[in-house]
Amino acid sequence: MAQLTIAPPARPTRLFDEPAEASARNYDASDVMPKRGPSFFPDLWLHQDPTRVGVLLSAANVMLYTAIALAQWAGWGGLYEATQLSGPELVGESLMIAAVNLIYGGFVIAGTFMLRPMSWPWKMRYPLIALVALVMSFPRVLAMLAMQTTPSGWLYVVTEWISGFGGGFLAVTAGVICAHMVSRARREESERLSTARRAARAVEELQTEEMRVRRMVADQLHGTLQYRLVTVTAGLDAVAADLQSRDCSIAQGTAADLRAWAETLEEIREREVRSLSHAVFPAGIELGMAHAVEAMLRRLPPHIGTTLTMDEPASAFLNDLPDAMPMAERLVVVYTVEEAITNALKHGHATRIDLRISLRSLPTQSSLPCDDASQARKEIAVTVDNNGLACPENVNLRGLARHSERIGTRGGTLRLTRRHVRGYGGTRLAFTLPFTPAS
Amino acid sequence: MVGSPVRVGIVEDEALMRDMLVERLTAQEGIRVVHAVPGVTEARLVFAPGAVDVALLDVNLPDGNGVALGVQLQRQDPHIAIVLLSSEDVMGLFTTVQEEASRPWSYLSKRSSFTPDVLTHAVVATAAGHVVLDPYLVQRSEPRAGSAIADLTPAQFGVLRLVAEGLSNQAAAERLGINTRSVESHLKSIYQRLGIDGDGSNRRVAAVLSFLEQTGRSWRN
Repeated sequence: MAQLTIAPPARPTRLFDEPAEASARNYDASDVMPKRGPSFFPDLWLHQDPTRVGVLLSAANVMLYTAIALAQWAGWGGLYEATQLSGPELVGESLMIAAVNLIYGGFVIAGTFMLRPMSWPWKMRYPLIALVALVMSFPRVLAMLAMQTTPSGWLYVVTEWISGFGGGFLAVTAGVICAHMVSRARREESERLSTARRAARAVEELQTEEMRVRRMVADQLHGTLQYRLVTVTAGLDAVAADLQSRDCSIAQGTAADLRAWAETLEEIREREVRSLSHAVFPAGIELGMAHAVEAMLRRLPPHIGTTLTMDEPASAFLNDLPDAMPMAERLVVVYTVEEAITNALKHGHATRIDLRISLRSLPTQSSLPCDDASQARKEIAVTVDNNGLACPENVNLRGLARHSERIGTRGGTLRLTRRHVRGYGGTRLAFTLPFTPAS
Repeated sequence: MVGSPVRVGIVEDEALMRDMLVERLTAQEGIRVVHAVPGVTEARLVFAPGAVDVALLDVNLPDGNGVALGVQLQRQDPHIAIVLLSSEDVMGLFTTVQEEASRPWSYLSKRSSFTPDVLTHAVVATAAGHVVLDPYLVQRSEPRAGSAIADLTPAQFGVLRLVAEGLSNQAAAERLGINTRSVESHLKSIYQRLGIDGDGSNRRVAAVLSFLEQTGRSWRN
């Protein structure tokens, strides 16, 4: 008895008081694992090298800049001069302008990215790009001047030099900023992933710990407490039998009293102690969900008619692989069915319970490399029908709300509906629960 | 008890209970306790195929479940018969394993196992191929509404109860104060009503299984 002080009956712990609450914390690890989907950047970018993204954007900018430079050349009168030339010479001249600007852009990009701008402190990053652009802009402006159709005034030279320098700087700066943002997004994503992994591990540990405590309490109740009460009952039985055998009417009367006490004790053991141990660990749950549900139906008073139907996949899966459904999900199913039955008997005054269980494989959602065939998720669907009073329209779920919420967090659904079968009223509780079978 | 004694292996974690079982069974002529261990791990080590006729298994063991252990022991040695022991009423728990079992499974509540006659009878009758259900729980059992057993007459149900306790026709007749022929004719109607066919001992086991599946006990007075 001393060991039972972990759960003094005077002030029940939450495990006893609200067994369902305790397992509501059993989130599936997949609930907190991040789902891949649209985030700050599209997936394609996120999983590429930030430098490559930067180079690509810079290159696009350089193309744009080249077009602007051509327009600038045309606007300044170069095109007019060029029209004085022959057709092929005009084309050659335009191509030369484009080539000079593209090559210049290429050098600025190469110069900048070869210096690994992502590893510079941000204060140094942009001055360094400016420096590269500045160095490269001199050969550019000289090459431009070397062309016969370009104007040769000082104003043009200075403008051309400034616009070349500015264009190159802006084109590459935009690329570097973008690369920086991609790299930051990637870092944040990986931090988020590791946080989620840590959380999943914590939940898993919590769940393991909860199971351990449940088991321990159940063992104490089953083993120690139940056994001691049984020995007392058996002792009373023995004394009663001894008294009964005596040839004395007083002794026989006492024997009858003792038997009555033994019965009372037996009732207490079967009702009170059992309901406690059931709350932490339903009988037969370690043998599989089907066993536990079946045992629960058999426990119902005999005036309640019961049926249990399982479809082919459910019966094959639950009977052949009783350990495949994780304990947390088994508890959810068993406690929800129990709540449905309790409601049917208490509020619906039902005399008949029909339970149907079916199972289907869920289509694999993603092609992440960590998913393999053995991890294919399954979904169990349970229907509990009764012939009692129909629940009111838009019924308040009350006790079931907790179960509904728990099923909801796990990606399942729960519905309570009135049945409209003629001559067989009552309420139907239907729920589904997806789970990942243990391999 | 003619011939070789019934060899019994006991798996029970409560030391006092285990000692009591060993003592009670050893005192019986024709029964020999060959192993008495506290848990699943030890049982797996010592229960060699062919060494034990009846395994007396506590359902709630600290390191596992007696029903699962029984299934495993029977898989290793199809000739082993199982008697489950439990302090709380989990008699509905082993109907599914019973259907596929190579040898019958019996069930005794710990309370009843304190009565020497009941304990000895359960061990010996199970070894002989009968299913024995706990007499106290059987007497508390009522037919489940809507089941085939609910259609039996009270006299027929009375006979079925005694068969479920593992009594022979003769013993049942004595208990009921009727003659053996009447018990036999009741049984014939019971088999018919429950849709059981086949031969002698299989029919008896099937009838007990139906009893297990189609009765319930009410613990709320």
